[in-house]
Amino acid sequence: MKYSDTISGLFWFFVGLGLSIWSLTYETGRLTQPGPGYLPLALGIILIVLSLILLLGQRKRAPGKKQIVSSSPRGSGWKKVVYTVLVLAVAAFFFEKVGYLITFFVLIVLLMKGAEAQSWKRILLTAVLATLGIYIVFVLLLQQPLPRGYLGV
Amino acid sequence: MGILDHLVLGFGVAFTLNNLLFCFAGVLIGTLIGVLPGIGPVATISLLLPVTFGMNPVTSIIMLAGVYYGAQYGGSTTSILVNIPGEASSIVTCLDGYKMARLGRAGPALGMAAFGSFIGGTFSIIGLMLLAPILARAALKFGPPEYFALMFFGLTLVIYLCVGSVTKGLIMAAAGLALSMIGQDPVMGTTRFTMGSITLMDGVGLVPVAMGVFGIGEVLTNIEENIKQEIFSAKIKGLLPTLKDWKDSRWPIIRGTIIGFFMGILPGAGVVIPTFVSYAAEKRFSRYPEKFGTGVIEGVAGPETANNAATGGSLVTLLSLGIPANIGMAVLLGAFIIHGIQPGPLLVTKHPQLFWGTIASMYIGNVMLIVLNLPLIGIWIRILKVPYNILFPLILVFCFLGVYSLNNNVYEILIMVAFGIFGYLIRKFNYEGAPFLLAMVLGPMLETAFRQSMLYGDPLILFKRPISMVLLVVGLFLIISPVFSGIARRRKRLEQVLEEENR
Repeated sequence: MKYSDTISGLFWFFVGLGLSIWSLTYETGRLTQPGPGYLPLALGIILIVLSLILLLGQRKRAPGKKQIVSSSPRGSGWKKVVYTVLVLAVAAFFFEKVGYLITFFVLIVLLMKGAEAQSWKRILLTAVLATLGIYIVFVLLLQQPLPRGYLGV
Repeated sequence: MGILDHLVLGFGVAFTLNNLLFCFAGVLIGTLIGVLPGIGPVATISLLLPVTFGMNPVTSIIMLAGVYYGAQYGGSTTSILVNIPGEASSIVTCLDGYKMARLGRAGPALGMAAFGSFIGGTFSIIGLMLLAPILARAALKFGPPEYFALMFFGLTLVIYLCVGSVTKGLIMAAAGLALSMIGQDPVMGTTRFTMGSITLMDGVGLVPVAMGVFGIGEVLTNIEENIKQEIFSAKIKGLLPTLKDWKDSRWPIIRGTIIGFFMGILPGAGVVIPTFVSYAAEKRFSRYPEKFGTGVIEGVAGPETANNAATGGSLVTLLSLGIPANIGMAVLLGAFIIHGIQPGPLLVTKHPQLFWGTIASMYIGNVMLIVLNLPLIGIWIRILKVPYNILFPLILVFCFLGVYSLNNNVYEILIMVAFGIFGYLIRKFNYEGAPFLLAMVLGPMLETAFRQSMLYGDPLILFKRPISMVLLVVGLFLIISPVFSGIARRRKRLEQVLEEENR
């Protein structure tokens, strides 16, 4: 039995269940006159059935066999993933207030700093060049409206 | 007007300075992102969408299509030199391409990949030009049941072709369809599942989801695994394949063109699967199948031709039926719609400038690509040497920028990040993103077609019309058959176990 399939199977089971219940708040209609809730309800039920196939299929296949965790995090890599996601989300939060120049500069510095030990010279150089490049290509040449923020550029 | 007159019209459109320039920009950007692992044509076309807002629709489609087929050219370079596929469609090229590089034949491998791509690309444009108008005329007779069945078939095909479990493929498709239900119901306009959010009123955008699942998700997976690139540093001499190489590659290129083009037409097959089919076919036809994987040129020529031929094929379905055959086409469909053009049976007659202009530009683009790829290979190799630690923050910033500039909506960045996590997790749990995204794209069209079909008053209408019946039956067979083969396999395994126990 694959441990990871049990986790994802359970996840989809609850997604299907939630979707089915939520769909009932809309008019479902009948097959020859389906309403807005008809297909979502059908999809919710299909998801429940499929997740059960995934869950039960796993159980039947290999009774008593060792659990294989194919999704086990290797080393500290997952910390980098969590860090990167958080940095991105926070950057999105401040983007419109602070403006694109500062956000992108800080974003690149933080992302590079978190990835691996690198020299500050390299990090700052990349961040400055990339921000400048974005300014030239997207703002000057392509005239994309980006939030100017504090710098006003 | 005959095809020749149309072509004259098309070349007239494509040969304006502006269109030539943007065609060049498209194939150049395409090659670049094809070379770079971790960023593909889907994310790039999404990124460039807002840039095209102010452009003429023909010019924008010419450029975006250029990115799409250009990427198939560039993908092979990384496979051959680094053994990391630049695009999913170049995975197979690693098998023999990298070995050839190891044997000191990187030049002919790169050269043959470029020539094969050129030939496959060019012939698939001819196929597109001949077939799309015919298919469009036939499609005028399609009603909702046929459209429903065709999309259903496309979805089952992409699930069937998934590596791994069919159940997981089905789950991904169902989840993608469910996601597409968010927003206004396409028939009655009832708002569904929005939780009062204005951003979600128009549904979850394709671009943030595609960039999240394929762009951010890919980057997250890569930074966790800490990919280290080892570039084949020996000097590359002589890009021109020898006469013997040409002789060996002649049939693989012809077969690759046919396989690529016709599989590309099928909704759901995409550009990746034809490369695998082509490789398998070459191995079967070869007089020395045991040598495959040790650096034979057929293993490069066939698949690299097939992926380029498939791009022409997948455009057939988009331009004549309005159905995106794969995710790249889905993003391109988004581009059409943003410019107020609905691809479908009427496109050829209503927008001949666009249709024939794009086709003509593809001929030109293919010539540009072969010119770009052969002499400039040194530059692409230098770009490959940019370490991933510098590359990935830039990819993330570009995704960030691209999603924001689409609607100037910060919430869409958050949607992208959320689907980035989703994309990362489905890779961990061995699910595939393709059925999810294709289902999400087809969702509203599928729902409309289904509900309109049901309005005929007969639930069995889908099985009463010949075209829809055939497509539905084949589709159902595709998802049910692995269950049976699975049972057969399990029975075999059980027999083996019993035999061993009896011994």
